[in-house]
Amino acid sequence: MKKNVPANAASDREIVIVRVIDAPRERVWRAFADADEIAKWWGPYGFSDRTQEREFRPGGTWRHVMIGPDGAEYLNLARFEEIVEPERIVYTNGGGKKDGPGTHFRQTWEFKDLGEKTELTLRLVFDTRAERDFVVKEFGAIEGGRQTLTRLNAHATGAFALFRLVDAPRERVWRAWTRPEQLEKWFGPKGAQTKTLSTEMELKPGGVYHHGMRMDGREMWGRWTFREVDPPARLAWVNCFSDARGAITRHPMSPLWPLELLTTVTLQDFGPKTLIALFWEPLGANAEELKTFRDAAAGMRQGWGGTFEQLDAYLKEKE
Amino acid sequence: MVNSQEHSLDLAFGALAHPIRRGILARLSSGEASVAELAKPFRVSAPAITKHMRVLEDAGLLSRRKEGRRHRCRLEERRLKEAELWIERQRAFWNDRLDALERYLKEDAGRANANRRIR
Repeated sequence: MKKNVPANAASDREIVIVRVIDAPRERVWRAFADADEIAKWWGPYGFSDRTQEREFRPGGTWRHVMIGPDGAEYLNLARFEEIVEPERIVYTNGGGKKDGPGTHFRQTWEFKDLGEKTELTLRLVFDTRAERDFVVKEFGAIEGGRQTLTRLNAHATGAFALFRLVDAPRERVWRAWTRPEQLEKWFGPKGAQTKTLSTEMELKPGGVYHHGMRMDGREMWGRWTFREVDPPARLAWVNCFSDARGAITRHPMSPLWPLELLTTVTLQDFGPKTLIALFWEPLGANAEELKTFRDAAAGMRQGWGGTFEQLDAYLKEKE
Repeated sequence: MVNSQEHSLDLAFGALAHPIRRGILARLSSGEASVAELAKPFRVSAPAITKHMRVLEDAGLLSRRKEGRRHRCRLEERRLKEAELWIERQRAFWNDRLDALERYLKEDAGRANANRRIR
């Protein structure tokens, strides 16, 4: 190690990512500190994380395996150097793809209190510039870091996130999602006889897709208002239930469901396949609506444990 | 009234979001129980259990009847079934959509290949 290095000399062997998380600092801290919570959002889109060992204290180790959308495993062994609740976490991390080249860096997480929000600064310092460049190029570390923080944001705000690898090129998936005559072939409710009543789509920010279907003799209408249209990578729209004229209505089954939900879909190449990332979050919802959605999202993520299985078994026995 | 029934489905949804309340329902699924029996497996105070039980009652998932000086609690199965269906529908919403997208893309690719062969 060279001595007397000026402070900014680290910059060419660093990765720094800053992101504001839409939740209070204690909430964000807990999402990192709690082993069960961190496993739910850690890693880029489509990754899952399996904790093998975790001692969240200075000197403690955190051994975990990140599993990619294709099933590839990445072993990680971190050692916590500093934990200053609720401000700062520092650890060194060694790891890499199974049977592949390893990497080593020191990572710092800074949690800055912004009231209802938290500014997170992630800093990864590598031993050499070459090592940093390798990780950026081979592992897409910058984009992966951003995706990890987007997942953390979704987790901490109670949004719903879903990832899926589909066997088709991005352009193909984009067309299936943005052409009404293709969209209506797969976007209807499962198992129902649907007949599309109207399919107008203005595919541009601010544009509207107002669509209706007949289901079990009942008409259902929905309205999407596009926010972001970036082919073939990113599509975001605000969706709501509506009447035949396009005026906003309540969820037909749930009067406490938020009136408007923002859906964000990103498509990324994954070899010849496409990785779909989907985020679903309420917009301008009141406390009661937010709670309804969060309860639902929690159920969507985890299922409801064994309760229903037990109940089902019980009811079957009885019948 | 359709609306109040739908409203209590939302309440049931919220009621089910708590592990202790799901535990109480799981216990009741094997038969009626007293408040004390329900409280036993959980390390929380009696008032806390009473509060959870009120949430379940308001959601129509639990009912009580008096037997002498004690309350017997029972599960309202029909309401729980309804809530379960509703949760399942929410849970499955995007998964079902993406399943359908995958099927559509696969069939469509199959058709494109068949057309190419005909030409």
